[in-house]
Amino acid sequence: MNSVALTLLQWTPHELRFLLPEILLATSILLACVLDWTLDVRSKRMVVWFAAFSAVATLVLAVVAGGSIGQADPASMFSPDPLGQFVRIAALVGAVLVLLAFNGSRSIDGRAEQGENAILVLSVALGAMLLASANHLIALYLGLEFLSLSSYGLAGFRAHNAKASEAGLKYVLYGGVASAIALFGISHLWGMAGTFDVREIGVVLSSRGGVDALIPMFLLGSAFAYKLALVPFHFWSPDVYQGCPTASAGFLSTVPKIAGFAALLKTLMALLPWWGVVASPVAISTFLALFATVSILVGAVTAGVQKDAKRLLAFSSTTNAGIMLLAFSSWITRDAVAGVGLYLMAYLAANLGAFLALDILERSAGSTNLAALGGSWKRHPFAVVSLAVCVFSLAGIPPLAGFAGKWAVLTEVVRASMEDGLGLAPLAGVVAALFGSVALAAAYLKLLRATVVDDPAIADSATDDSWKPAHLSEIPLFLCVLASILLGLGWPLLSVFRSRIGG
Amino acid sequence: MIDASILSVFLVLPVLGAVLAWILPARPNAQKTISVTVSLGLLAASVLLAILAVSAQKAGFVLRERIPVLSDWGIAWHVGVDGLSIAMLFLSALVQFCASVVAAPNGRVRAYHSLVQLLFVGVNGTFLALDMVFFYVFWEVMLIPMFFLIAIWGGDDRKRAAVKFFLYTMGGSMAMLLAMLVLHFQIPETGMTVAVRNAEVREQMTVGSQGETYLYDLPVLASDSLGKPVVAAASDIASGSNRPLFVPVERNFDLLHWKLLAPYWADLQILGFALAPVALAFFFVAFAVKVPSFPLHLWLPHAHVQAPTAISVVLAGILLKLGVYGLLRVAWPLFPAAALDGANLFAWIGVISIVWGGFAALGQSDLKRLVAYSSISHMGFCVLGIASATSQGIAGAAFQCVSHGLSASLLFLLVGVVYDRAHHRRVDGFGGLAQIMPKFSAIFLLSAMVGAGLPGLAGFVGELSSLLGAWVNPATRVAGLVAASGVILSAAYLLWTVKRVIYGTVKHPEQRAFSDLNTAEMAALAPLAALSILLGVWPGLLQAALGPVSASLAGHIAWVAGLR
Amino acid sequence: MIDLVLAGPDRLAPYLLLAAALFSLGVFACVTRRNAVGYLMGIELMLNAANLNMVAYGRFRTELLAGHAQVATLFVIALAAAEAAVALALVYAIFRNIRDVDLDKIRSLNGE
Repeated sequence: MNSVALTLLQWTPHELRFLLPEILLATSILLACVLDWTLDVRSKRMVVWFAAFSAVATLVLAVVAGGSIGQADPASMFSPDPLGQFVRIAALVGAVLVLLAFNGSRSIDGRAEQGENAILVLSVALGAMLLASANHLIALYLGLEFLSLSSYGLAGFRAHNAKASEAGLKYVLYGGVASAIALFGISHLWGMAGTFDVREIGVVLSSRGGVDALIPMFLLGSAFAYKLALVPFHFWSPDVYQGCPTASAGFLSTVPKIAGFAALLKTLMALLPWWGVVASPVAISTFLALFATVSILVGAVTAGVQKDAKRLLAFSSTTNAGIMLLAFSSWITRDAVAGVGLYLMAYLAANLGAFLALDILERSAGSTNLAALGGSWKRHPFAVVSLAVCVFSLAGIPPLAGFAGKWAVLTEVVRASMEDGLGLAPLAGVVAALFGSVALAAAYLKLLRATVVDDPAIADSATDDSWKPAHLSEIPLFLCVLASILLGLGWPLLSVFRSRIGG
Repeated sequence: MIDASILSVFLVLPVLGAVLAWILPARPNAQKTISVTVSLGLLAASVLLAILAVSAQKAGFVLRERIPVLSDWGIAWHVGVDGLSIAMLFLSALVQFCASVVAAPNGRVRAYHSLVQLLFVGVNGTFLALDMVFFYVFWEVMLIPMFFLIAIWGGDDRKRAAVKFFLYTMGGSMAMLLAMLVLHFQIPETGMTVAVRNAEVREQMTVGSQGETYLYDLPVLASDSLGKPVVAAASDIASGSNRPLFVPVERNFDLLHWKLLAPYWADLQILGFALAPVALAFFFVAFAVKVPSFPLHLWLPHAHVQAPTAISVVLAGILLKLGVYGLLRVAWPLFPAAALDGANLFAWIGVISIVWGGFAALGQSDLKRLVAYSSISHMGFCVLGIASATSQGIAGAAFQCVSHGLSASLLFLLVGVVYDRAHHRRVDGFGGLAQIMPKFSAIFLLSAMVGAGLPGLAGFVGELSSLLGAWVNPATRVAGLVAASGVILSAAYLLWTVKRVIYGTVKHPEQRAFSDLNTAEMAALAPLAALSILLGVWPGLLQAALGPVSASLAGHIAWVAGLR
Repeated sequence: MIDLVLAGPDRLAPYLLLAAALFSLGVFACVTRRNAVGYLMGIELMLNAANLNMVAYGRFRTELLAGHAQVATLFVIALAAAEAAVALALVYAIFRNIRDVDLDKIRSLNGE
């Protein structure tokens, strides 16, 4: 066995050696497609299980192969580094949890398309992994497109429902424009810099000087802002999350965002030398901080007036994305990167958990409308408690994970503002973040109150009082809650982050 | 033999209780027994601490331990108790006992008792914490259990009340978090050396193996004849020398080290304006929400009325004291100069609470709302005492905390008894209960007298001391005079309530069937009543714990102000 | 940059300007079109404008490897085709449900 692996490794071209998890995942996607075609409708669940199993296998491979990450050639198109490894693990864990949650999900379980849904989940995970390890602008675009196309498919999945397919269509239309804008920016950046490698672009542009490369940079930045649902490109997320199946919405609101932040981080860090030439650190820091502040405030305030739980969570995602962007305004120090990493982990657990809980509640309530969720406390106490824990973690209440993430990010921003002389804008961003947390907490409390009210105000014919979720589909929810609590208590984990994902 | 590890008992025991209450099946009295046992254990622990404090004869922290946790940020597990903390921990355990004995949640008993235990983890942790981060964490830990306790087991409008409580408290905490973060980064990264008060060193120092002096784990330095800093010898300090002493402080989140940096905070400027008043304002907002002080008190009447009886007892008995404790432990020690400058302002805020609360209580027709407003009024005396920044005022504020904890718990328990019998709380709906429930009436009268501040009972000492402190400080003198007239208000509404409820003729004949206090209610009320009388006739018992702490704080304030 | 504008077809600038014009046309199409397929045409216009950019840079900036330009363009063509396929599939899904591809009608389906 060892010699086979050795021979295989020797034959593999040098660059691909570090992409073995991605190769494994791609192969399993193809195998799953074949499986889906050959199985009859009643056994489609096997595809979901196969997908979950292959995600676990890829996760194991990624962890095992993680030791050799440092040796990857930083100049190749895809080169995983610690940040990329982190995204890999996060994407695969998210995929496994969501695939487990498909059992019993109202809109997915038992349908003929559940096999394809599972394949799309794996594709999104693969796209996330590719995006996070991309060093090359075309590779970045490739990863972005792979991620986006799979997301469009996943979002538009309940094709029989008009309202749901509208979600997918909106996503693809607006997302297509964003990708096109990104590509236009990439083409100009390449033309001006002469190379596709992100780091070399930074070096070339910094020696060349010149402000004209800022325009394509802005175009590329707006595409990222779209993917991360930052204001003013956030308007797609409430509609999309509301329309698509809840478990998939949970996956779409976390994994693409994690990959997007990692890619943004890499790109910004690579272009840092050029920025220093173009504008003063204070100006750039102020710009980023203002941008982040707007996202935080708009997300927090709009979340409070929403009448649907998924839309509320979509706007809260915008606020959380804004807080993570605020970390970048600290001129991307090592601590800021570690803080963002911890925040993303907490966000993954909490947001995914919240959506999974809503998935269970939706099955009995018929929809995720706040008015329809009444009485859920009596039917599914575990799901409501889990929702509460996840939502409090998102609000940043100690001792949950969200507090650890917020602490890491806000501390670093305050420090950068005071010590590195980056001006007052980051500090204003911190104030906005704290205010946004309270406003978001108000919105979450509205959500929790709705679930504790006794009778649903909307009598939906789809209400199903006697349904109990399969224990298997409660496991991912339980794991998310556990992660939220343990990450919060096991705060020293942050030191691990600082030493490994830094620089 | 007894070292600071015993302090973990205050956190571990409630956690154990919470876990046990959750995993055991809901038998009729299983969870209640667990809660009562935990509270008795905590009572025993706090009494042990009190004995330790008395026998150690030390003015400062009796037990203290510091274990670095995240040294990159300077976060350490720093817990310790002095007289103030011990008094608060004792009160917390007592309130927990009383609340557990009368707890009667309708449904979900396991969840109820687990949440109460978790709440007390937060409460005890806040009293123990001497590191700002852990202080903040434990402060926030109380939010979630309290929200659920009100929102699930409360009255008709419980959800709005719970949300109001949550948002007010969280908003205040955000102010505290922001101030904390900004302050932390004002300390130079390489640390700095600050002058320290000799009296404080004498009170709190520990001696090393070679006779060198440590203050809060920092070496105490003095200049030798050549002007170079050397570690001061314990014998030298103990003999009362007045050489200038210094300590090197690193950048961390340690509350005691921040207290030592008070002279530094006082002079610090950010962007052209002074940091200390702004930071003090932020901390005051955070703590004033909890006290609750005008103008951030609007959540309290709502929360009190909607919460179930036992939770009202917890809320009034101990949760409000956290605000005062925060002022005494964090806000005033860190910014003494700014506090002295604002003494008049803070005193008037206290006075408005006293008078407003009093007048509002006069007009209430719901017994629980009446007691809620009386709580606001009584806690105003705490704010007044702290504002005066004198040792009498601070001692009075701390004493008032304990005495109000007792009287408010008594009153809420009694209102709960009445509600349990009559299923309504209208003051006009009762009359002549003295003939029907004599034991109840006796204790009711006693509680009203404690609340009114009758000499010989606990309420008098705290109020008198606060007013005395307000008089001593010229800046707060006028406010103190106005506050003194507020005492009349409390007597007025309490006596009037007693008259309407207890005395007179029996207005509703069906109430003749009411049963008097049962064993559980008696078990909860008796210790509170006894302690109120005991502290009234022998205030020295509590003053022995609070006096040194207040004197030390007043001295610290005076010294920092004098450095200007 | 002004002198580049006035130059002829043997210079880089006109191609970049043409690409920019195509890009603007694409944006205009996306903003004004009520038909979903028309919207997709706008997206395709934008993608191909970027392609034109890359080919032009590859031709005129000789220090760049021309091979890179062509490979990248092929990449983009393939990805654009995949995107069009997915987008049209979703348009078809909506069409099956409401028998219309008018974006104004589609926008009013989900409220708030």
